[in-house]
Amino acid sequence: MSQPVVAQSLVKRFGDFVAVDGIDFAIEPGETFAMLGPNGAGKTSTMRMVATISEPTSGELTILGLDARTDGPAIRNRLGVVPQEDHLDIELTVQENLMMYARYFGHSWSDARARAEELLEFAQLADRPTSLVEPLSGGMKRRLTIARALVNDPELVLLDEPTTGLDPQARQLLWDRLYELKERGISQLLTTHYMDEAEQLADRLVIMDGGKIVAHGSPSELIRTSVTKEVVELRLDGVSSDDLPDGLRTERLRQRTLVYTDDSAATMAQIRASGIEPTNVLIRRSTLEDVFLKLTGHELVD
Amino acid sequence: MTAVSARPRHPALLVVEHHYRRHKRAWSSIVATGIIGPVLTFIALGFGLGSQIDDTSSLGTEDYLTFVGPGVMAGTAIVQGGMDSLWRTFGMLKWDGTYKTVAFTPSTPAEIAGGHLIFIGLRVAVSSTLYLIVLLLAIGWTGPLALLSPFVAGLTASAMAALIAGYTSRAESEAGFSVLARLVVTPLFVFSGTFVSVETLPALLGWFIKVTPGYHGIELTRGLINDSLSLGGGLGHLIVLLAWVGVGAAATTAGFRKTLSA
Repeated sequence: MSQPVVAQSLVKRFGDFVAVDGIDFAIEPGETFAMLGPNGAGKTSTMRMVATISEPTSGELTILGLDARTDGPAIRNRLGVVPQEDHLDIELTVQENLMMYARYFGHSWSDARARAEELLEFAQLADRPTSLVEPLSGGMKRRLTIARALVNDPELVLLDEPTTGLDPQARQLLWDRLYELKERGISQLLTTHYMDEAEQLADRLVIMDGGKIVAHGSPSELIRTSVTKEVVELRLDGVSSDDLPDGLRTERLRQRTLVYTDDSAATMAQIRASGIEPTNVLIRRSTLEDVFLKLTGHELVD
Repeated sequence: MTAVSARPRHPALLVVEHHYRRHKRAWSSIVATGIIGPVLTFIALGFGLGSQIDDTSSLGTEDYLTFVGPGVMAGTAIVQGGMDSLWRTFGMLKWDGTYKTVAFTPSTPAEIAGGHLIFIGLRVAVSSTLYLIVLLLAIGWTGPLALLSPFVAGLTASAMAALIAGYTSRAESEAGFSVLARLVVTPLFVFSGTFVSVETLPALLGWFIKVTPGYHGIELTRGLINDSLSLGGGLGHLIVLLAWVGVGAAATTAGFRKTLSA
């Protein structure tokens, strides 16, 4: 099986603004591939090009072996898209939303009904087929949107910020659905600005900033190669981080100072020995957010 | 899992089906706006005002009833086509994102725009058919050509819809829509020959009106219902109407493409 997505020197410009600046990446069959970055990093613009909604300004983009510029309808016939906003049809019931969408992919109405019933089970909405969309919770709407993206048995599913705005329980439920898709061998391209989401779901990821890819690899690889094992977060009221002992790898944020270390106990002992007593100390393992911070010099969620 | 079918053959018709399914729950209000309004207008003007008009020589019909009856049918098509292209079209493109979702399917912006315009025309054709029944009950059977008039009304609505959707589909906001409704749609309804002959209008206004699709829609509808058309005249009106549909559809398609591909 060929790679579902291959992007080479991909560029998207809107007037003078360069949203995507010459990126290269490829997704392997059955892989969950994430694009991680803050708002404005170019994730959604890339996603829209892969969805063949927006034409690349330059570069090459091959989706499911077809040219994104010339084969849009044929590509979309094999894609599932979960956009940032649900855009569910509020005039239709839950089931009708799926059925009507299935019609656009060539399913007969009766086939669409069977398909919808199957997908409502998957989305854990089998008890709400005749409900209108409006009364559904945010998590339910999101699951329905994911179900809608599966009506055509897609080979590749695009998920643009799939859990933004959901509470932790709804996020977990949605992640479970995405794991299930992965188990079925469906390739997924995911954008998110939640580092825990990328760590949980992605086999590989790229970190984007300012339209460029600044790092790529598996989550654990990126953490291992880019930052230390642990991070000590300090609140230093009335003390400058410049006063910390020399030799420490630090990053100063608005409210906190981060100290990168492989031995947090030894680092804390060293700080206290220099006469500094932080107001608050938090010791944690390094995350993708630290990778992002180190690579770009600014925080991930802005 | 069921295997997915090949790409649908007529994606524009799926947009029509989508509208039909969306409208199923609101049929009563659609009937009210599409039928009851025009019928009441026809009764009020045809029987009310018409009873005060003795000289109909400038109208080209036997009486005011047979002049205003067909006029109201096509005039309503102007209004429905025009109004459907304002907030409703903008809403489906921008507010509720219905068409943004459809754009993720194999359908192209041109097919979505085409289906949108076809539905507007069909809806008006259906309501015009019901209106025609009432009209023919009032004025009597005029001939088989009258049966074509709902299609002309639908075409008139599609032409108006296409022209206005060419603008609204690329608009950034709905700020100018009220002005469009008041200064374009309503005047075209009033002055295109719905209630009085265009020949009675000031020359410049009359000349302008004769370029618009509404005028040709009204003249063709009236000619078909009253069986008063020459073949050349009828074809002329039809060609102009179709040309406007073509121009408008091209503008609407460009607008849909711009908005859905942004």
